[in-house]
Amino acid sequence: MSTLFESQRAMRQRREAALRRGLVAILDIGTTKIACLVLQFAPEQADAPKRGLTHGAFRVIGAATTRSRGVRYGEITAMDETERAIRTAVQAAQKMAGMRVDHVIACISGGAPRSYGLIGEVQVENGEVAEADIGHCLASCDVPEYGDDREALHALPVSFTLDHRTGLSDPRGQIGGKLAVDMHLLTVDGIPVQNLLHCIRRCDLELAGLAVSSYASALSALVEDEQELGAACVDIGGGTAGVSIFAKRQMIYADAVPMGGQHVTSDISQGLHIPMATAERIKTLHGGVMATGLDDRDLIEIPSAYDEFESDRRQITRAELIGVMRPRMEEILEEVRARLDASGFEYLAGQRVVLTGGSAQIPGLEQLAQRMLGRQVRIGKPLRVQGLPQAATGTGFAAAVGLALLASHPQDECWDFEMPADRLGHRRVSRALRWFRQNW
Amino acid sequence: MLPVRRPDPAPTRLKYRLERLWLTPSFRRFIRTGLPLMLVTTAALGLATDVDVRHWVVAKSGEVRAAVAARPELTISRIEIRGASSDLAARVAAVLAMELPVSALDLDLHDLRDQVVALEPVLTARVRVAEANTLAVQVVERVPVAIWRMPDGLSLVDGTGARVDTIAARADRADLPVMAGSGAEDAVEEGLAILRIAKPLAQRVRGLVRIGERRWDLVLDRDQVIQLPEDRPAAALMRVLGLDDAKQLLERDLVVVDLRDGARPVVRLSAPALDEFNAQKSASDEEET
Repeated sequence: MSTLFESQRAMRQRREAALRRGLVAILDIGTTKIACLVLQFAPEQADAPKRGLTHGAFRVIGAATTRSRGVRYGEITAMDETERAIRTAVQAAQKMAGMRVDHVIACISGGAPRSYGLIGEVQVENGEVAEADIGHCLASCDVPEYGDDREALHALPVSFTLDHRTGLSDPRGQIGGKLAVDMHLLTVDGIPVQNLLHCIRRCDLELAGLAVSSYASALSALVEDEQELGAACVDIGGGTAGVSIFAKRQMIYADAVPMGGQHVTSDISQGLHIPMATAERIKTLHGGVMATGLDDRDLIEIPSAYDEFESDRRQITRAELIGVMRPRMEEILEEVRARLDASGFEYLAGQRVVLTGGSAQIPGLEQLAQRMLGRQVRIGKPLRVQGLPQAATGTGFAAAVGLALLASHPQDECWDFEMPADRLGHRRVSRALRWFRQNW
Repeated sequence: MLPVRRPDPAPTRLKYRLERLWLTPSFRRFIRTGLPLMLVTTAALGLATDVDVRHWVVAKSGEVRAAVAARPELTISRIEIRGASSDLAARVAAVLAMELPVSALDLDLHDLRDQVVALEPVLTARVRVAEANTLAVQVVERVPVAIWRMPDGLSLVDGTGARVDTIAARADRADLPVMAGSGAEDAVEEGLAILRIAKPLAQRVRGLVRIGERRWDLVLDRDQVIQLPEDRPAAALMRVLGLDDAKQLLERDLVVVDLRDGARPVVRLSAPALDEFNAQKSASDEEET
């Protein structure tokens, strides 16, 4: 955990440096599109009061979107292609901003995120909880063996317990004896993260932060009440559908279903025998999931792949299209429901589900999801931030906007606290002992 | 309608890097201001240090200047002197003597003016190039107010004590008072004030002598001297005039009336008067005894 601790901390420092310079780029590498936002931060005034979620602190001065290439299920499969796509997006955003950006904050949607709930407990040293006590407490969590090939992406202290008072979000300065913490550890596959890092480095950019995309999109799509009372955010993107659950303003669970809008497109392409590009176009123009009687008479012209348009002219009804799309969307939502059930979402006070992501734009998805998930469902558009172009205010940009919010108002993570040195030493010794046992 | 297949919009790695370099503020500043500045400076220095170029520039500029100076609008064909008496005008003309016609560009008007002002009788002068090819010289003469007697002759001074002219004899300017002694030229105003007060004695006044560069002696005929104090000499003189009015002080056979002590004037009798005074005094003493 200590190497990760160091690397996350280095990333934090780079982010601080970027914020001091006042310029940072947001890179949302999705399966269907790559979005790049350039944020300009207002210079920090020392005497200005600290605001909560500082929406006004930054301004989007550059935004660009490009078709993603070489990404499948939110993971990079063709490095060169993806690098070119990132270059396209970054260059266009830079050009719009008129500034060069060096630091990017990226999000990863693939990599099979997995959540762990950790519990740590220590005795408070001096009666009053200090920063060091929190560090001790976080370090005392026993980390499960999540596998050598996985990396911890988030380690969020969800709530603190001081003696018998539970649900404290910030126990610093309080008097107590025993400090316990519930920590949410999120791990993802190491390989996709390494690929992403390498790809960004090849674009001459420095990574100043990395987040799971479902976390980021929940930050921008959920309103504050929903974050407080408990809600699930389902970010249905092109290749993956991310699920994240919030309660008491903290993410308590995240998962991802490796299915998304591209599967719908490929279903249309296969079912109607049309090229992928045409299928995508028909899906976005005429798609839907709730059939009505009118749809049987609604004819959709399918452009021919050949020029003999006189003879090779096909029409399908909208009902047919819905018949192809609906089962796939149902499958995705079923998977999502399975994840939600596994997470213990039903025990939360709030039961609301917010759909976001590019595929949430399918007409009728709200009703379908309501029926499938059995809960209140709404479509969540990302929060409006200053300077965001109209084209980037749709549900597909929830993750990008959420990353921007995360950059301006970062959540305290485990690595923001000083890890006690004896812990680190202890870990190192135990690792050496383990190595000896394994190799001799 | 089928989607059109577009070429790859991605920039090449080189283009991407160049674009990023161009968007770097310092690099941009350098290219936009630093580099042109450097180029221009280098070019200018290169030209300025080249001997041939410098010779050419000097020759060419001389040529152009000569061409302009030769224009008929700029020629000066006569000199007009105003505000000067005829002999001063002659002296000014002598100072300004030059070969006419001359170009106005070749004249240094400041220098000419300084030359004219350097003449003693000239208080101020204006020299300008006037219309009709004329060099107009406007002169203001100094007005002599006193004659200053020096060991080597008589000169005329104006109110500020500046020398105006020399004269051969006192009689040349009988209307002006005479002042003498070193430092007299610095206190001409004060001397004139004293002389104005001494107007009732105008027939008898021979002149003023500056003593020790600090005070005045009023010299009358019959070698009488009124020694005035350093401060408030006018009041002291008025006191003497009062005494003269009342007791005909100055009619008497005195040599010196000393007013340097403000408390009491002192008089010194001439030698024969003193003898007579002593004789009268002894006679009266004998009468008493």
